[in-house]
Amino acid sequence: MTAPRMATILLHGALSSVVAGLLAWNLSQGYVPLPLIDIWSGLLGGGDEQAVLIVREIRLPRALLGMVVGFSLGIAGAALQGLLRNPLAEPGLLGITSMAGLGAVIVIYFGWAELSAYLLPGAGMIGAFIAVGLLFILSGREASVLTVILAGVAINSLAIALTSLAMNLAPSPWAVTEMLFWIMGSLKDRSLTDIGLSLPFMAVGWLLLLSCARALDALTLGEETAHSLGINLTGVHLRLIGGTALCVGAGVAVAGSIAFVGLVVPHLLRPLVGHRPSRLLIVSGLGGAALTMLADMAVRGIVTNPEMNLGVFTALIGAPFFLYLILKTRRSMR
Amino acid sequence: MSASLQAEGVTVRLGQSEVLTNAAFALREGECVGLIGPNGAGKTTLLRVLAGLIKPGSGNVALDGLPFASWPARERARQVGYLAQAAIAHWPMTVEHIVALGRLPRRDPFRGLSETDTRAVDAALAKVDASHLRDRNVTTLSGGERARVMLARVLAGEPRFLLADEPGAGLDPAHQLRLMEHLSDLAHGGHGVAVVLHDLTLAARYCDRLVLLQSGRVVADGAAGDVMTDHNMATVFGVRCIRASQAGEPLVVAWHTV
Repeated sequence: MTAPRMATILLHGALSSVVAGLLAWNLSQGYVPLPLIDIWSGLLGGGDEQAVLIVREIRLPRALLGMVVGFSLGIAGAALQGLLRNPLAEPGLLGITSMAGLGAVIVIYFGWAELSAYLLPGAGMIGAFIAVGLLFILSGREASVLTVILAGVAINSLAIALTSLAMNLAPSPWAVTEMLFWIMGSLKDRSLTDIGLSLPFMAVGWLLLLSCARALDALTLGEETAHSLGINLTGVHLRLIGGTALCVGAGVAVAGSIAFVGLVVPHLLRPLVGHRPSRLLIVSGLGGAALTMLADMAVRGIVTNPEMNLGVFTALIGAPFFLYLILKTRRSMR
Repeated sequence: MSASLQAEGVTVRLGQSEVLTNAAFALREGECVGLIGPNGAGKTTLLRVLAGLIKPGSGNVALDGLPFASWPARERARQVGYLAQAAIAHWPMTVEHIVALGRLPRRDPFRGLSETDTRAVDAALAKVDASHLRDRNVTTLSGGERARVMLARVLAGEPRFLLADEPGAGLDPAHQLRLMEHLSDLAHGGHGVAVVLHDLTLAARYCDRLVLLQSGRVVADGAAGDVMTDHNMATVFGVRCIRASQAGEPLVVAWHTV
């Protein structure tokens, strides 16, 4: 086995262990102190009834959701950066998250959410798909970093304007609260049903993105050269756009918008995989899962009343990081 | 039909303007063909048509007598390698990883690099005198080093036909000469090489055949002596040349404008 391959396996192993460790730690933390043995038996469905309820209905969904949504955001960020060949690309910054949120808000506004459980995630994914498609059309094929970001700013503004309009005209204060949830993002009060509803879509998204791994490497040399290497660009673009939309759309539909995970994680991990876009996908997914769970534990640890929303917390951490990234890359990114 | 890469009656429009008009071009294995002409003559467009990157509005492009459309993309990529003008890498990857990208059309989609792949990468790096750059970050290379690494990237794919768009731009004189030697060696080793050049002497010395383009049309196709006539140089390039010969090889230098 070659040394670089060994290094990749070690990195995957290390990150997976961190994710598994955080999952366990996540289950053990909560507002009601529970001994480890109760958590374990609660997980298996035996023992104290209250422990079963807390572990299975509250902690497990929250931890699992953090893991899968984080994985989706991380892998989508890495794929988007590879597609646009731009280290500043991120689903939240480019308006994909807000468009997904807008889809959800529209469904709530018209009271369609009760019609079918699939309408909310469906609308989220359609919103995300429109955003990624628009972004790609607006910024063109060999767009500069600036064009991509500006296109994202435009899409983001449009989504925010329409979301505000919906809140402005909302039929009831209850609807406004519900809509706010999508903007602020949170993992609390979700059930295993929500995960069951969104996970299949996210999983398809992961597979679509992973199927483009080699193509993302080829895109390092630009679209024309990638094409000359036998890459079917149209197919790759569609899979990447579709995969990103599924990941972000399904994620937002179930957890609201959790910003900056897709920016911070690929950036931190890229040097560890030799800057290769293909190797960055799974690694960023794992990193995203770890960061999201960690942030969610921080949100529970920082005692505020009411609890701080996860999306607010990641934005507070992520925005300064984005500023730092701009400072760092402004010379090379003209 | 002999093994060749052929374009016939090719017309390409970009927006309102016709950038290639009824152009014909054939590249056989074993020859090095230079594409020359002033800026905007359609050299790059012709090369991109031959690489399958643009579909001509009319006309045919065929590889080994079979129309391009009937070749699967991956298979065609194994046969025809393309080196873009001023090729760059968007991520700071190592030279070795960049060159290995040239193996993409030949790699098993579900495996890492095989022994054969690694050997091809090593050989390509050695050929352009860049083995020592292997572990360098590609974005920190000088222009000339990067040009050589990008050439190695195409060579690593072991294409039968190599299409290179101004590969010598940014190279110092020694590396320019070495590059042309590589290209002509490749051709004489059985590959078909088409290269866009601006240096008239390099074109006359190293190419077996020259194709002269002007405003999207092929105006001359043949041996250097027949293509670089005083008449052609004056009407196409608008220059008068001075000529000399050194050990039987031609020297052509544009001396003043007409």
